[in-house]
Amino acid sequence: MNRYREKQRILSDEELIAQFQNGDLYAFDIIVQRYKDQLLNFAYRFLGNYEEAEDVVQETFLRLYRNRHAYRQIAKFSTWLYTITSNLSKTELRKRKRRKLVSISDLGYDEKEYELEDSHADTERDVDSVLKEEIIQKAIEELPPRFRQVVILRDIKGLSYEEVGKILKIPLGTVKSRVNRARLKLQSKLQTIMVKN
Amino acid sequence: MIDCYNFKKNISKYLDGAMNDRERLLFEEHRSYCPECGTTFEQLKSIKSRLASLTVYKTSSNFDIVLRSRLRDEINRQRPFLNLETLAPVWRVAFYATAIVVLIYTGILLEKTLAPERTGTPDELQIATTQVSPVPEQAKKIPAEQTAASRRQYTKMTNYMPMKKVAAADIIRSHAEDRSRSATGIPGRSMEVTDHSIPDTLLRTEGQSSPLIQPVNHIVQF
Repeated sequence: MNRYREKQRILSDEELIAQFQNGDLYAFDIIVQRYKDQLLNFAYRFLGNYEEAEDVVQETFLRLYRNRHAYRQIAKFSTWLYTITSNLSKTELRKRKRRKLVSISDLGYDEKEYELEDSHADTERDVDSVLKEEIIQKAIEELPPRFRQVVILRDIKGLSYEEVGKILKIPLGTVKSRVNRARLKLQSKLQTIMVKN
Repeated sequence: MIDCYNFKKNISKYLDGAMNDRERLLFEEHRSYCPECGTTFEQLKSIKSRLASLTVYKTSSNFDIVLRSRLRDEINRQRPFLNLETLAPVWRVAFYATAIVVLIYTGILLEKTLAPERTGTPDELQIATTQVSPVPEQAKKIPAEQTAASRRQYTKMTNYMPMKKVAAADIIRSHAEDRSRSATGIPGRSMEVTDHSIPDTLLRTEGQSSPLIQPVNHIVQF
């Protein structure tokens, strides 16, 4: 039995979901372990809130459990799963707007208090370390959702343009031009800080 | 030669290595003489690189526990009821097919239960089908006035007599009794109408069946 479980761990996503569709809950558990962190990072970069992101991932797996027979092997499983998370993240974002939480975009870009690094601290820092992660995260959150999604999927998650197109259900040409525009928008938002440092 | 707009439009294409030789040459040419676009390119390249190396977060330690708890609730919620959504398509089709068969069978049973009760053996019922319809020879000889009187009598009777379903076998039996009485000279029961008999006089018509025959025929034809 243990040998069977071990073999299951090296199965492809599609094989695992097929087993899960046949009632094997252990296959479901392997899928959860395989994807929970990936989905969390996607949701977190999109929402900018760890708790909300984790809740979205929980809900993603619940939807997977509930609608396991809705998956057909015509699509890549990871694409399907990312689509669920992406839709739930957008829904969460809308809920948040409805709750009228103060959005970072309500503030002018110059008014935000970024913790800029001390220029005398380390002279050998490269540009990557100058761009503090929280600043990048805030800049990402300022992007309109459609640009935010593509930049996270393409540049943070490292997915191909084709996969991004399938997840977001948009044509390949649209994905490419949207990624380029998203990068330029992000660059213009971060430009000031980069120049200062 | 490309302008700044086209340069910016194609930065990602260049970074993705998706340009052909000619496009790449034109791109690099613009970059070398336009400092602004050159800066934009460098910054964008840095951002792209930085995005790929952002911290990878992990789910909290109680993530699995919470998920299991929510799944248990989900399973418990589904258990009392048949949730078709969770069934495989094959089983779903089987369920619907079974439901349709059960419905049809119930319909047939109900129809049989509510249908009029028939008595007599199959042979008798068959005889009734063939024998009730013809008008007896005797009826043809009765004058029209007497037939009219019989009709009036029938109408009067049906006004207060509850109609009951008469079995075909009973009608045949009644006809046979009447005929044997008229043959032996015993007064007939033509006017002593009961639920189970039909007076001979009521059968007499001028070329058409008596009204009383109508419901009987319905039963026989069933």
